[in-house]
Amino acid sequence: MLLEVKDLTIPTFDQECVIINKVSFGVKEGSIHAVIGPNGSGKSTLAYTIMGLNNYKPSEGKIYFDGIDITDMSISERAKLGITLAWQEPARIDGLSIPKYISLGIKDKANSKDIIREALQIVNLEPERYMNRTIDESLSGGERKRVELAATIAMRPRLVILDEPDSGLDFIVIEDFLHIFGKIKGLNMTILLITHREDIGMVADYGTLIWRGDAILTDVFPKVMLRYCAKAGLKEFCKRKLFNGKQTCFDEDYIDKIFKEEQGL
Amino acid sequence: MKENTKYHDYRFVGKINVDEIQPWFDFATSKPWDDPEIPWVLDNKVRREILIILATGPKTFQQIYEKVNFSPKPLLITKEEYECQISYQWTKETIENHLMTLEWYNLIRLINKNYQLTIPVLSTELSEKLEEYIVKFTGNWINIIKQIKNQAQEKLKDLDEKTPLYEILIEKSIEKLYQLLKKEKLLPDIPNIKALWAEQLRISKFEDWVNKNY
Amino acid sequence: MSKTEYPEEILESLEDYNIDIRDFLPGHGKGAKLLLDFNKISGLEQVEGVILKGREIENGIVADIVIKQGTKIEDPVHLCFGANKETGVQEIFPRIIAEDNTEVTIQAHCSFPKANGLIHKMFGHFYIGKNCKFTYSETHYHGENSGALVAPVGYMYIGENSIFENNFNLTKGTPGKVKIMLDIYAMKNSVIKSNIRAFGKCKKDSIRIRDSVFLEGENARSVIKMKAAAKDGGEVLMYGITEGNAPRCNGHVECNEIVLGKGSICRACPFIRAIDPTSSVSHEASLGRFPQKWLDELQAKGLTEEEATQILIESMLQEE
Repeated sequence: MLLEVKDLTIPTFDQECVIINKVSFGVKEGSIHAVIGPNGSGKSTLAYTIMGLNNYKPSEGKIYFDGIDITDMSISERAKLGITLAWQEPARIDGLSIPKYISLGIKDKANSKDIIREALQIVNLEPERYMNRTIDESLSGGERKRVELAATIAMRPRLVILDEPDSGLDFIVIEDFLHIFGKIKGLNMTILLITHREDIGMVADYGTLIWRGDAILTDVFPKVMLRYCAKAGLKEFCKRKLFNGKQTCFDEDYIDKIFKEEQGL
Repeated sequence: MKENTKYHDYRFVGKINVDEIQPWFDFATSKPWDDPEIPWVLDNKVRREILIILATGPKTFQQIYEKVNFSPKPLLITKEEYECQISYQWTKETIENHLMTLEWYNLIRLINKNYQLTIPVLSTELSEKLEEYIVKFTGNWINIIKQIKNQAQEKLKDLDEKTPLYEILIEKSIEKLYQLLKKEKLLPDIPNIKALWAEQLRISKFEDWVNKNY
Repeated sequence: MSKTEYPEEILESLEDYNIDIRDFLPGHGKGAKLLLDFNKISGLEQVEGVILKGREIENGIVADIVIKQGTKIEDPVHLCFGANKETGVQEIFPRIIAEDNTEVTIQAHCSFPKANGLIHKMFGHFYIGKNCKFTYSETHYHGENSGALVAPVGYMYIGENSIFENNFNLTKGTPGKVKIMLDIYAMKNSVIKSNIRAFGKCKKDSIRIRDSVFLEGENARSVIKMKAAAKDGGEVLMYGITEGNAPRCNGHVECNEIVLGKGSICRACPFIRAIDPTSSVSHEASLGRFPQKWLDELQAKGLTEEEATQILIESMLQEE
C-alpha cells in the first residue's frame, strides 16, 4: 500500500465533535482510489488531514506513506515526500503568473519551461495562450482547476489527492477531466479522489465509503458505489444510473440482496 | 502661522467642547472622537478656494461659479516660448455640493442669496497689529511667572524632589487657565481661522518664492 | 544633444525593477529625458511635441515638462532624480502640463543608492487636459541602509474624458522614512487608476502614504489600489481617500497590507465620502497575514511557510 490510514479519528477544531471516527483504509500504488460519501460525511476533512493542514490534526490513529509514519509531519514535508493536494476551490492570487505557479513544485528546475508546457497541454490548455496570464479572477472556474491540475502534474508527486475536482464544472468539462485523470494515472501517479458523484467515481479502481464519519466499506469501486446507494435507499436510481446495460456489474438479484441487507430485512 | 499647541482649539458655533469624560471620549486627544470633523472638509482644495473667494466678501452662487476655475501656466517656459492652452472649470452641480458641505459644517452661510463666511477674516495689516497686542498680553503673564518662579520651585521641591513638578505645574496651569477663561466667559466664542490662512499663505509664499528665485 | 556622463550607480537599481537602464542614458534610444545628479541637471533631451526646461536652484531644480496639444508620443519620457551621495537635501519642483488630446507615458526613477541621511523633497503639479491618455510610473530605490528621507507631494488635475494612470513602486532596497501625499482631482468622464506598492523591511523603515482622489466631474471614475508589506519592525500607513462630489461618479479604494515579523505595524485608513447623492464610493481593506489557504496551497507544492510567504509578497507587489 502506498498510503495507509489506521484508526484515524479527526475531531473538529474546537475538539467538541468527531468528524472522522476510527477510519482505516489503504491505497494501492498506481491506482485511482475514490473516497465517496454524502455531503458532510467528512471526506474533505480526511483529505486535508492526509495532506497535513494545520487545523486538521487527528486525535487518534496514524497515517503511513510508503511505510513512513507521516502523522506529525508538516504540509511541506509531506509534499517533499511526494504527496500533494489539488484543491476543490484553488486560490486566486493577483500577480502570480501561471508558469510561476506551476513551476513551484517542479524538482527539475533546469527543464521547468518544457515541463510547464507539457503539463498545460495534458490539461488541454494551449501554452501560448496561458503562459502570460496570472492565476487571478480573470480565469474561469474550469481554467483555474485545469491550472491546478497542471501544477500537480508538473510536480510529479507519487500521490495526488483530488478534492472534489468536479465541483462547479459542467458535464462537458467533467468528461474532459475524466480523461485527464486517466493521463495522470498513466504518468505513474496514484490518485486519491474525493467525490460525492458516482459518475466521477466510476473512473476509480477502488473506493472507500465514508458515511457520517465512519468508513463503511473499502473494496473495488462498483461494490462501494452499490453500498452507497443502498445506504441512501436509492435502488431505482442505482439500477438506472449505474448498472444499466453494458455498465452492469451486478445482476438485479444481487442488487436487491444488498439493499435488503442495508435495510435490515 | 503654524498651529502647534492644543490651546487654540476653539470650536465653531454650536459645537460643544467637552471638559469632562463622556462615553464618546477619545483618550488620545481628550476630545470627542468625532472632533476632527472640520479638517476633512478642508482636505479638498476646491472647498478651500471657495473659502478664500468668500474671504474678500459675500458672493452669489454665480459669482463663486465664475471664480472656481483656473488655467495653469508653466513655471519657467515663457509665453513667448510657448503659450499653454489648458483650463479647468468646475460645474455648477459640483460647486453646489461643495457649498452644501461647507454650509453643513457652519463654515459658510447663505443670507439673501449671498454666501458668506461664518468666520472672521483678518487682513495681514490687522493681523500684524493684533500680534503687537498679543505680545503685550502674554508679556504681562510671563513677568508674573518670572516673579514667582523661584519661590514656586522651592515649595515644590519640598513636596517631591525627584519628579519635575515645576514643568508639570506650568503645563497644567495653562490647561487650567483655558478652563477658567471659559468658565468666566472670558474666552471668545469664535472659530479657528488658521487652516484658512495657512492655505492662502502657502499660495502667496510659493508664488513669492518662485518670483524671487528666477 | 550629445552624450553626457551620468553616474551609473544611480541607474543600476532600475535592473531590480526589470527596466532597461539604456532607456534612461543620455544619447541612447528615443524619447525625451531629464536626468538629475543630485542638484545638477546632467542630461536633457528634447523630442518633437515636448518642451523640457529645467533650472538649477540652491537645493534642487525647478522643471517644466509641457506636452503640446495633440501630441501622441510612443516612447516614454524618462526622468531620473537621483543622487550618489550619502547626505544632502534635494528639492524638486516639477510642473507637468499635458495639453488637450495628448498621449504620453512618463517613466520616472528616484534612486539614492548611498543614502545615509539624504533628504529628497518633491512638490509637483500635474495638469492633464481633455481627452488625454497619461501614464506616470515612478520607481524608487533608497539604498540598503534605510538612510533616506523622502517626501514627495503631488497635486494632479485630470481633465474631461482623460485617462490617468499613476504607478508608484518602492519595493526594492530599504525605503527609510517615506511620506507621500498625492491629491488627484478628476473632472467629467475621467478615469483614474492609482497603484501604489511599498515594502518596509526593517525597524528603521516607515512608509506613510496618503493618496486622495476627489471626483469633481460627472461620471468620473477611480480605483486606488495600495499594497504594502512591513517586515521585521517596519511600519506602513496608508490613507486612501475618495470623495464623490459630482453626479454619478464612482470610486473605489483597496488596501492590502501584510505584516511579517514581530514589531511590524501596518495600518490602513480608507476614507470614503459620498457627497453627491448619485455618487458611489467603496472601499476594501485587508491587513495582517496572507490567508492561510494560500499558504497551505503553496506549501502543498513543497515550499516552506517562509518560501510561500516570499512568493506571495512578490506576487502582491508585482506591477500589473
